[in-house]
Amino acid sequence: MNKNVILIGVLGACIAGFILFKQMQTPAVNAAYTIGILQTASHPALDATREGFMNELKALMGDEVAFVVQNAEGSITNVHTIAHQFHGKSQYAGFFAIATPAAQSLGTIEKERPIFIAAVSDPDSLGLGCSKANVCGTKDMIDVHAGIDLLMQLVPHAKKIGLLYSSGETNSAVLVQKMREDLEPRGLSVAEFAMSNEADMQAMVESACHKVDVLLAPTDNMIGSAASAIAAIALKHKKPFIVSDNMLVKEGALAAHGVDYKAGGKRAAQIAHEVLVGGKKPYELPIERIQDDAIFINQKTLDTLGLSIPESLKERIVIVS
Amino acid sequence: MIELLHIVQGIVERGLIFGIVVAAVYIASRLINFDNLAVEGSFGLGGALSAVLIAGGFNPWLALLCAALVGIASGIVTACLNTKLQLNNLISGIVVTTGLFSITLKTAGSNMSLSGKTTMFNTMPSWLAPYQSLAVLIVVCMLIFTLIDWLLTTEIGFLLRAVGDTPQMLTNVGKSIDRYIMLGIALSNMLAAMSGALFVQYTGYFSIWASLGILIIGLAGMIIAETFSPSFGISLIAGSIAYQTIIAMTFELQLNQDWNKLITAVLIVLLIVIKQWLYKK
Repeated sequence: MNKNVILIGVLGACIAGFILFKQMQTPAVNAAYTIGILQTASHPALDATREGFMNELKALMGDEVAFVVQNAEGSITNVHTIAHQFHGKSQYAGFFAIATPAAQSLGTIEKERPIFIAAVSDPDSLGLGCSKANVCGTKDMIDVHAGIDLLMQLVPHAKKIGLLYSSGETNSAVLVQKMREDLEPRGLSVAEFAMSNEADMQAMVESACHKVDVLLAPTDNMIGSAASAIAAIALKHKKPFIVSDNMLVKEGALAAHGVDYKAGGKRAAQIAHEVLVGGKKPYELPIERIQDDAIFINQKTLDTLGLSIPESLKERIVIVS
Repeated sequence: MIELLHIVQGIVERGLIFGIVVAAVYIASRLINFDNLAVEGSFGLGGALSAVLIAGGFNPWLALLCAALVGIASGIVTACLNTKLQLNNLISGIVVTTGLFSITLKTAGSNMSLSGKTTMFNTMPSWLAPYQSLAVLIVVCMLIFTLIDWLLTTEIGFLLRAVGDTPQMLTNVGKSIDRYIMLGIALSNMLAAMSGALFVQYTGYFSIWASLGILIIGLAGMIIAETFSPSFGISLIAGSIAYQTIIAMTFELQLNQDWNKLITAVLIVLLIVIKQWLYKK
């Protein structure tokens, strides 16, 4: 009996504290538009997406717009918790979902207000395409063919390509399949190295370096967060490491002709502006793919590997050091 | 106020779903004294299987049942590794969770959307729809907890509890300890898999990463629940709801988000300390 009283007491105190806390809370800003930003995890590419979005929307709308940023730190349950709380806040004008789980959770819960998405590879297969009336934004699908063209030009002697990715990411599985389909007709042999967690990375990359001539990675969250370590191991074995996320070149990867996440966020902000201020409906706007012609190359890695930039690529190159 | 009710409803819903995981951890760790790390693997596999079945147009309740069965299977494997091959109980769980990752990946891929499919939570007419999740979850949890409560009052349940406290007693009455360990672990993994299936249907998509950290949710919920009451029962759900409240409060605070995890940790310590202080008085 006594225990039950305490049980109810503590639970009651919990909820009462929560209610009190809610009441005390004043609305964050009195901006005309408050955007709830739900970021799936802390990760350079996703951070860049967020910054690109916030900076651009701030530039377009000034003090008219305010942001509430929440980060689920990679936990799907937290993604859902935050999405639920966003949905409950009537003062939010729209939502910005960064990466697939955030887009899925918000898409499931919120059916009325607009959801802008970015850093999602394949929204159509997730049921987030045109069928969803309130979802629009950008996707980060890369041009696999162009990436492999770059690889062939930079490392013409390559015969065996190692594809490095994490087994638990849909986008990676799709891209690796595409890469394989593009590499094999060119007469190159392909070996796949899939890791299921970051702890496996070291052993896997070491083993990959012994077996292949070049390492190639799709846009992959796990590769993204381990990129500097992978680049270091690859460099130790004198193997080129080519990535699909431009920002990772700075971390030591040789080159990338891929996605610019900051640009993805920026474009999503422009789309958000069209919806919020321009009065367009999200379903009128297709989910756009970010096109970029620039090739990023790390000068230091290039020198260490003793490679040179072919003449034909020179004008599209952005050197990172 | 409506806004707040909405948030509280979300907390209770998640608390109910993870209350089942808390029960799974409790049965393994407290009743039969076998720390079951396979919970995480079973949660993922249960979710994956139900996602595949629902995407294939099967009845969502059937999907829940199939998830339960596959959970029992993974529990039996875990128990066999421990009792037949003499693996340490922690290692048995780790091995099963590790292996199940691949099986889960092969079952449903890394991500599967259930948008537009019939789940347990979207069958009612629209005016009832906002409360369906809550209603269905309360019914499911009541069923599960009543059944297990009843099981624990039977002779089987009595012997199951003896596995943790006085294993000697089982040998004295001529019962196999190994068999009861298997029963307990199967039960634990069955609950974990069912919770996984409920979670996938609740969120509307399956993600291979959803099972990450489930063990922590289960353990934290159990520890909080034990400050309420040490025996099996509704307090486990209360513990789970309390933990989800803490998580939700962390997000509501809207401080610098980098501090979220630390805030969660501090809030848990606070809750337990307050409880202990209350208990002393």
